[in-house]
Amino acid sequence: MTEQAEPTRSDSLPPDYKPVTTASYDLCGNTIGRQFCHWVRMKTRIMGKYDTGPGAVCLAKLGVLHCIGAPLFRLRIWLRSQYGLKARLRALINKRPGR
Amino acid sequence: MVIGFAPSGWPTASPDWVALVVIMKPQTFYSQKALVDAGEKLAADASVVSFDMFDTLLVRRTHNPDLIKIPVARFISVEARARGLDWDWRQVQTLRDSNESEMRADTGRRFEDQEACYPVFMKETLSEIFGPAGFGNEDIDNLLQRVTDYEMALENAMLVPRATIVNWLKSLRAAGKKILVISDIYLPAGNLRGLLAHAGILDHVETVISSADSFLAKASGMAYHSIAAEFEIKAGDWLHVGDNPVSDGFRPGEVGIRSLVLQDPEEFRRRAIAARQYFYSNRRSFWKGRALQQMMAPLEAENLPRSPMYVEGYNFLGPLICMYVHRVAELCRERKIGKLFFLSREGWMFKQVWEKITPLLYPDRNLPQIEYLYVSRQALAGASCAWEGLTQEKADIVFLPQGNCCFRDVCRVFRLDPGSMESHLQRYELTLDSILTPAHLGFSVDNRRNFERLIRDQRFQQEVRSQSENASRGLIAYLESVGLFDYPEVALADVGWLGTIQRFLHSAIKHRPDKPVLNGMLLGASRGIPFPTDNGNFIEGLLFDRDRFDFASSAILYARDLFEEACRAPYPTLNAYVLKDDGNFELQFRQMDDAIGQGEQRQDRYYADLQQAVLDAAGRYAAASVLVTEGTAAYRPWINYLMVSKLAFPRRREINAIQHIHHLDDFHGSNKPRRARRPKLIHNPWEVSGWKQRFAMLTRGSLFRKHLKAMINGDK
Repeated sequence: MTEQAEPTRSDSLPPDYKPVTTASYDLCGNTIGRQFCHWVRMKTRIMGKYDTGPGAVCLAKLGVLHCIGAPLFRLRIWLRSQYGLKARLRALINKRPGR
Repeated sequence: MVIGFAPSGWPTASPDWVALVVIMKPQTFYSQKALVDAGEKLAADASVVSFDMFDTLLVRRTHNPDLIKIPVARFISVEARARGLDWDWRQVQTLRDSNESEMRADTGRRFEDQEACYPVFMKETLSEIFGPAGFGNEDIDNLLQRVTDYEMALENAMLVPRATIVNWLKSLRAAGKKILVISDIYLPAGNLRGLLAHAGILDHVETVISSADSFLAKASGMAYHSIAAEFEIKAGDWLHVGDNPVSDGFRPGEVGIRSLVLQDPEEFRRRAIAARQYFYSNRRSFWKGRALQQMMAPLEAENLPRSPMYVEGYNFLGPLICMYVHRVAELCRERKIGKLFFLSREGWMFKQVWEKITPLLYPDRNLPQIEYLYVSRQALAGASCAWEGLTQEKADIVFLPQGNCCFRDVCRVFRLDPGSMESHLQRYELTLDSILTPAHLGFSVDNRRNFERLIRDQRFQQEVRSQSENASRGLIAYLESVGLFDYPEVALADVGWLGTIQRFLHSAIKHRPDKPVLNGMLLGASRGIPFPTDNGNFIEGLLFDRDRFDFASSAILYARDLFEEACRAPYPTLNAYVLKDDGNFELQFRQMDDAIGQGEQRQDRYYADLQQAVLDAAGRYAAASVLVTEGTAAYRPWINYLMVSKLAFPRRREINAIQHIHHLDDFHGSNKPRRARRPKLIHNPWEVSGWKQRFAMLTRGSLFRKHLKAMINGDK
């Protein structure tokens, strides 16, 4: 069963205590930046077998989402709320939008 | 608030009558906290508060709820194939989708909404698949129950309560409000209640309503009418909370119900990250492991601040150990192995991980029986000499640790009486303290030659056999009691590295006609000395094997003790199998009151957090893994990345976070080898501390190149 406590930092916790998942939904201690550094190493020296590797484009896109995703998604929702009126009216008129 | 027209078709209105009603404009919030703050004020005037279930009360770890259907289809496919029916999981999935669509179309002709009901279309699907195998109605019902249980178990593993909203729900319930949970989904209310109970919410909810039961959904607004009529709720007394602007915003607003809509950009962002990782993983297998870890990641209230050791255990060691155990299960199924033994003491962790992950990975339960086997190199070494004596190969294993140098160490390891051996040694101009390895001062080639001649001496071997006989009989009695000889083929799961335990075990039982084939499945096989793979005795390293040319995974050799300690059981090692007078056996464990024993106990307490993290990760591994991919082959690039990144190129704080403080090697003697002529310049950062470690962090690249050279030359 899952705990229901609020995810807050207690003052009694040591300062090096961190959540397993960071605020940007990355893995603590294994972030996208580290994967990027490893990708650079893979490209410049023998590091073993990684099949196709992570790929620069995938790393870049995920890097954007992890690092500056918060303002981007706020902007997206704001735009939807400002300009999504047409869709809302259509939904209001059409009674069977499906699931 | 706006004035609008209520379209025809409402239960309260005749088809030709169009009414003017008050439409409540939904309020949209962009964070849970803002919604709860506003909701608390509005709820003061409401006697009933209803919540949408998915993405409001509960969020899924995965971006796409339909992913859960894939492992369910695989399960049905496995069940069908077990009965000789050739159904691929994709065919099963297509059939399920088509039956669901047909049902939606059918209900769409009779109701406003196009809803489906899981037990109905799933039973139809199973009947079509298993009907040709002669399945009757009762068989189908039983199978449907198993399939439903599996799907619900996956849903439970993937669903996480949203802490802020759930806490608000609880406070509303405590204040005497009537709490309803409403969902537009194909699962009936009974299944939804199970999901809410698992999340710890059901006790605070009065009624759970699903569109699958009534085919009246929130999407059309019909659900609100039906609920209002059934529970006699006035629209003004009702507050609804959800995430869909239409179903949870406008539709209740049309009836005059006040509604709060949550549009959380952070949740959209989280799902977008998971979606991209999953999407990339279909093209680049590197991302399979990363997508897996994203779906395993703790969310909401689970994601509390943890110690650095816990974080490393969850994000690094946990996935690796789970992938290893998963691979063991795969191999056991492929080879149709009857019984799997987890060798002590690292098998303690592997067995717990097995018990956590296999129910969801293999719902057909076609798995070997499992048993924890009490063994140790120390206990098996002596028992292994009863039939073939002390071979040169076994004697050489003693001298692999540099703390051993003389025949006294051989006696300690094989539990031989040094006093009775002196006469044999004298025949070959040796003493108990003659140095037999070049790593120690006083070594001479003559000593080594004489030692080899001693090993070939039959009188010496007879003495060894007679001294080992009781230990061997004690071991055989123990192995019979755990059923080792009941199966033609068994698997042994152990951490590694040379396969010494399996070597000794095989040596001790190979004289028996009913000996099973031993399939050693090691976490890492370093193979420092050749392993005898004849006569039904095999080992294989699953994360790393020296016999496979794999640079990246060889990084595990940087910190072997870390894996041993992380998996080790918190009790002392086995010293011997003692044969009792009645022919029975007794397991004799090491005393823990000396300095080494105290050190082990200190280490157990130190690693408790790390081991808990591994077990927590295992709890979420299976459900995530069956959603990401089938099997473990696709995880190899990610395993390699984790190994190199975390072991060969670690950060100093990571080493300090998970470095063990004590490690017992039961073979290692107390002798000190002679010093090297020149001090080492390049150190393994896992083996040093202080300024040497700081310097080692600067030379990680050089060390890795040196490591690779050693791997190529066979020096490691």
